[in-house]
Amino acid sequence: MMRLNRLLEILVLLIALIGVIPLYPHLEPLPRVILPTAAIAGLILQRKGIRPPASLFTAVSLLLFLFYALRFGRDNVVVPAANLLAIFLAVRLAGERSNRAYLQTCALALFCLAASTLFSLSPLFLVALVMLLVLIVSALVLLTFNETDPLLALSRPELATLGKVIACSGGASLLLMLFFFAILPRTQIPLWDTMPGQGRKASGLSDRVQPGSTTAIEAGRGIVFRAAMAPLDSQQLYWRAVVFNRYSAGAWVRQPPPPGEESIRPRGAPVRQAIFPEAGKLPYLPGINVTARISGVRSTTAGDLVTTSPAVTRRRTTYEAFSAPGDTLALRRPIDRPFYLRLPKDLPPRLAAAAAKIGRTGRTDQERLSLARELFRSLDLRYATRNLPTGSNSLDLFLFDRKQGYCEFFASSLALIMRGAGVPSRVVGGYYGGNYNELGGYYVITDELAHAWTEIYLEGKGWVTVDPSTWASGFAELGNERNRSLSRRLATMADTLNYYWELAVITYDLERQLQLVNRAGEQMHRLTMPKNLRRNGLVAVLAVAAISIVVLLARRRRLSPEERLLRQFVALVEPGGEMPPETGILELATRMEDPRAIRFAMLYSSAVYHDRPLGREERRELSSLLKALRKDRRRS
Amino acid sequence: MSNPQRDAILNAIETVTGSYLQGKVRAVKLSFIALLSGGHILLEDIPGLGKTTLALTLAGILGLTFGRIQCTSDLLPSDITGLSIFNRDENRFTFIRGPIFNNILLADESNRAMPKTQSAMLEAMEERRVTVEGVTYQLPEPFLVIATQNPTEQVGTYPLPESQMDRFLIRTGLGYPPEEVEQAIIRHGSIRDEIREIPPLLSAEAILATQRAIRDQVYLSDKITGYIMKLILATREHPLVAAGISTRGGINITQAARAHAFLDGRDYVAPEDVLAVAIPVGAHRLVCRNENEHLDKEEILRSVLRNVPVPLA
Repeated sequence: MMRLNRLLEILVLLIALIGVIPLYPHLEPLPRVILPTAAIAGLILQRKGIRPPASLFTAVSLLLFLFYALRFGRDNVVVPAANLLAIFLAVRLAGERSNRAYLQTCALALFCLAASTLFSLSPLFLVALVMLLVLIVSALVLLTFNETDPLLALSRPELATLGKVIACSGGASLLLMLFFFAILPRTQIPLWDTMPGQGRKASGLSDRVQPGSTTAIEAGRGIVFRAAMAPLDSQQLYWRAVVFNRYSAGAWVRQPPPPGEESIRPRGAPVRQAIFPEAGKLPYLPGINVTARISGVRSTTAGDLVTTSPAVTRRRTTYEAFSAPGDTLALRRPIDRPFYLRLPKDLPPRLAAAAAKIGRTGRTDQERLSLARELFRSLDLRYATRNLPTGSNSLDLFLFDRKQGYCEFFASSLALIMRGAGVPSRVVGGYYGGNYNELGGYYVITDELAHAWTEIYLEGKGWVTVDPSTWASGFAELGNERNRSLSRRLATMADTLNYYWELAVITYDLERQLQLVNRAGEQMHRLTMPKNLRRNGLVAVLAVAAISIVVLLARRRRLSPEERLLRQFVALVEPGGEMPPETGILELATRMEDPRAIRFAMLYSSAVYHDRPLGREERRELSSLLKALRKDRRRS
Repeated sequence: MSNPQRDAILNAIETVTGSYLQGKVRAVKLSFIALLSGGHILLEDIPGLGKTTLALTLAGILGLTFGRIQCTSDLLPSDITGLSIFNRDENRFTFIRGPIFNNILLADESNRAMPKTQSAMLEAMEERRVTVEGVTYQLPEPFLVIATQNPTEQVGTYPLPESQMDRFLIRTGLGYPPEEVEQAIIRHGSIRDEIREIPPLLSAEAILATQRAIRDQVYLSDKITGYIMKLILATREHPLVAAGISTRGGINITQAARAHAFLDGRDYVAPEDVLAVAIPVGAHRLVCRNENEHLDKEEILRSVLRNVPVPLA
């Protein structure tokens, strides 16, 4: 036997716990301490049978409410509200154990869970919500019992029955939740996700390339975006985001490309990427080089194929990029050479000299590029992210003294050398590589994958992608560093969960809702169109028919031959195959007014009512009579 | 099954219904069934529908002896069985046989006789013998009593009690003949004179032989006895019925069904035979509860028949 109110107490405590856990990390210290203390105090008071006056709790609640109410402000709504909710919950946990208090606790736990979404909306929320839903349903059922008889105790079988009821209603509410999630109207912008990029450090990609600003770079593993697509060769994973076309004050920056520059977009764009960027600070939309077009979001594409959209900085969004992997960006007309050759006066002298030498030696731009490559190789540069040269002369130091640096050094140096040698060049910022998640079928691009490379203009070809980092020793190992350890794999799986959570829940807005409706409608229209579907349907229908036939045959097997014949005979007269009452087979045959039917009935009943089985000859005759009768029936 | 006895009987039935008793096929057939299964028949109908004519015709065509009792309230048992009269010449009592010593006895308006007389007659019917003054006299074979009863007349009548109703194999009404048949009958007038000259088509021996043949040759399946049993049980469990069909009733249904099957030319009993005889054989044996006295017993039995499934395989 189990006392119901005991069960209820445990259940409500569990509800409070689940409601608070997602909110707990975002609470201030005071409620963080009060919550567990209050819960334990409540339990102890209950054990000892002490009932503190309700006015005490009211007073405490009021006091704390005033304390937090004073901190409410236009910019500070969420934090005080969440803390207040937690404190109310704590007061309830410490106070009396009445049905009313239980109900309030359940409601407060639910509010706490809702409040937690204002801080972060992770898959943990879904887990907590589902658990809370089931537990609250059970608590409500138990509460109705408790309301009628507080001393009620239930036996094990009774509890099992109750459990079934609860499971059914809980399951139904889960289904309803799913249904309402899909159909309830959405806003254009997800309301809940009001603080994009909050707590996120600046990504590896920045709006300027400035080598020499730090001694070491520390790119985090924060996710920049995910790209759902088929896996590509790692050599092709250049995610082109932005083009820096002007060097000034030791940094590459972006200026609007000269008017009239127009890239030829690749015709076929076989690589489709569905990209889910985490909201960041930069408006650039990366895509596999060379990106033909980007759709799914309002965006503008400049002449150098840099696509920007202010939307990505404001909210989570998704877009689709269509690319033809390659390393050449063809142009419609010759470029504005002076624009792409512009150099500052104060170039590092050794770099400028090297550039001038290449410019003199090489006869064509292609040759000059080869010479530059030879120069880089001969310098024996190493790829490194630590112990970097700094200062205004950092590039000079990088090339000739320290001989180690990271992608920005390589790209800046090459672009400057090429410009110095009279070859138009520019620096490209983006990402290189990506961890393919086999489970979800997408690439994860993290901050550490931010990369810079160059594009060199070659007459007759266009902008050719040249990644000078690949000429360094140590660059190739970079990718292999990311080993395939267990923790890494676990992280991948966790990320898959996150990916689907975002795919299904976070980015589910009005647009997606409409898409869903449209797609459903289209599929309804197309339902009969595909050939294999029809074939599959046919196969399914045939399978069902075969199974029914087998079942029917199995059922008929159980009938004796007499019964089978009788059934067929009755089916001739009575559509349902049901014998009318008060009627024998002879009577039935007489009604048919057919000598064959009467013959059948006579033969049949003579055997049956003589208590002897039908002979083979008799059976044959009966079958043929049946066949003839059936044929007649069909004709008429 | 072709059987000369059966053919003779069918011929007789045809002759009776065709020439003398138009529109009374059912009653005639039931009478023959009663005769062939050794039972008696109670005709229950208003006067003037041909009850007596039916009895007379049957007697005539069967070549059997015929006796008739007109029941009145002062009728004594000895008026039926007969009595001993002192014979002076022989100086001893001689037993004068009453009308019951005939193959066919018509007890007209039997419900007008006193219960004492009724029970004397019904006992004789059942026992097929009469004991008068210590001497037992065997009644002739075959022996068929055709009793008539007027259901509408109430004053001065002694309706047969249920226990005695049970002794009749069959109770049936005659009903009005079809209109055009009745018109022809009216035009033709009474046929009493013609009946007297009916040539007998069957003999007593032939009927006895047929009775034996029916008993021995018509096969009765367990399915059919099971069916009859179910019917009887259903009448006993029927909510409107105080007492259902008795065991004798079950035996009678079986006998009648056998005779029916024989007349239908089969050497086995089919459920149709049971269905055909169940109401005339069974209905009058039902005893309704007091509050349901007014209900039609035939209708009650019909509802039972509807609800008991027919054995088909």
